[in-house]
Amino acid sequence: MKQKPDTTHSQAGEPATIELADDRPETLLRHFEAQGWGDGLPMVAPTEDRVAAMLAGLGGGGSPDEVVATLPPRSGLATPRLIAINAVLAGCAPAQMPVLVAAVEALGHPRLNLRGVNATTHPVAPLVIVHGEAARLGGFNGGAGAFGPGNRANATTGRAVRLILNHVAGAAIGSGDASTQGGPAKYSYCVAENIEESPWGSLATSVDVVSRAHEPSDADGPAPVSAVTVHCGEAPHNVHDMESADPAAILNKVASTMASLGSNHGPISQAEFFVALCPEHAATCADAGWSRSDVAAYLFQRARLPAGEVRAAFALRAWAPWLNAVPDNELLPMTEHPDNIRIFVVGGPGKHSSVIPSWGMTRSVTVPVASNPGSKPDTAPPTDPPQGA
Amino acid sequence: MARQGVPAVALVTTAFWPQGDFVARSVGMPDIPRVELPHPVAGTGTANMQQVANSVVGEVIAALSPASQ
Repeated sequence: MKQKPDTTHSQAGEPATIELADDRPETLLRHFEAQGWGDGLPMVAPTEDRVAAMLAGLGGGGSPDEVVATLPPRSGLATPRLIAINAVLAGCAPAQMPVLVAAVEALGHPRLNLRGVNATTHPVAPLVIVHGEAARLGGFNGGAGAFGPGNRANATTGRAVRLILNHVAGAAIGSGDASTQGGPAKYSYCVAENIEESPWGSLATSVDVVSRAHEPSDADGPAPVSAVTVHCGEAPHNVHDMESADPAAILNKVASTMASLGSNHGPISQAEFFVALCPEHAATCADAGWSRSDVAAYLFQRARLPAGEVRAAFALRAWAPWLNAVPDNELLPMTEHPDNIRIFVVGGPGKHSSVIPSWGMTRSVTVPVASNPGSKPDTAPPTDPPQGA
Repeated sequence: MARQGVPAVALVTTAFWPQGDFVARSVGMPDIPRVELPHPVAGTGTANMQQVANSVVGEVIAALSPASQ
């Protein structure tokens, strides 16, 4: 086979080149397994032409070797080229690259605490939420079955994030990842926001968006057309309500799902919940006049456990000071502020929503997706290289 | 902390010693002082933790001494 860039880059972000006897998936997988690389699934060989085609998905401009983020624990320097290599391995299309690069940028933000995310025994995985025009251009699914299989952009972008964590950040099981049980979300965890059916617009308009310089954007400035949020949490917990016609009844079930001693929200009060409402549940809330912040405020009020029960369960607590003053016989909120409850809309027809608890010692990060000069709304997005390349 | 000259020692249980090796190498401090604890420590009760602490306190003090830093 042709020479191909290797993912065993140095910390300086320089990809090496290796040669294999052929480019069959079995050969590549055998080599990766021997090195302790990959996620266990077959991969696409990152030949030079495939990597070049993947980089073309960024629309030119900028150096492919410019550092996008420094990823712990090994302090791996993620460059567009290394991101593209892992995108090829994961099966991405070039049109997904702007989202993937933004996701990696978010992973490198100090607020996200990737060192802790990668090192913990918890089954945390980074959830990538794609907002706005970037979702359409990249072919992401925010509709029916969005958290599940069947869509290339969702499946392979999430997978590429995991491969980047393994290969660049060094978060492989047994060395940089100490997860006790792991979890299915660690394979791939990417979804688009269903903005078309969100009665409140995009979640990205209600959170701080971090610029490339890692500074908060002007709060009064225009909302980004395209953005990516990364939230490090558990796999989604289902909330089923087939019968309620008023918001409170639906949200009581959401709150019940949030109020659990099994998550890290009991001992860590700064932790954020991401609540993915299905369009029908969201419509029930909005039709009754509830705003996004109303929903979050209600959940803040309802998602509570007796303070004494939580104290008894966790000897070590990272609580905001005011929570320590809540008496044992009163109810304790599962997070210290309503703003820690992030509401967004995902899914298709039906009445299933979900709660995504946090790992805890992390904060979500939202970054704009760089505009892609090669992807105007009326033009076809960049595609894979021709067959046989 | 160790890089800034603050005496530091990492307490790592046996089960996580390989992860400790990896992280220490990754941050360019392969020889950072570490003391090995039995696994598990978490959830084993105050009495056991006290016993573990007593068994390693000498090592911890030695690791924090100027000669080890």
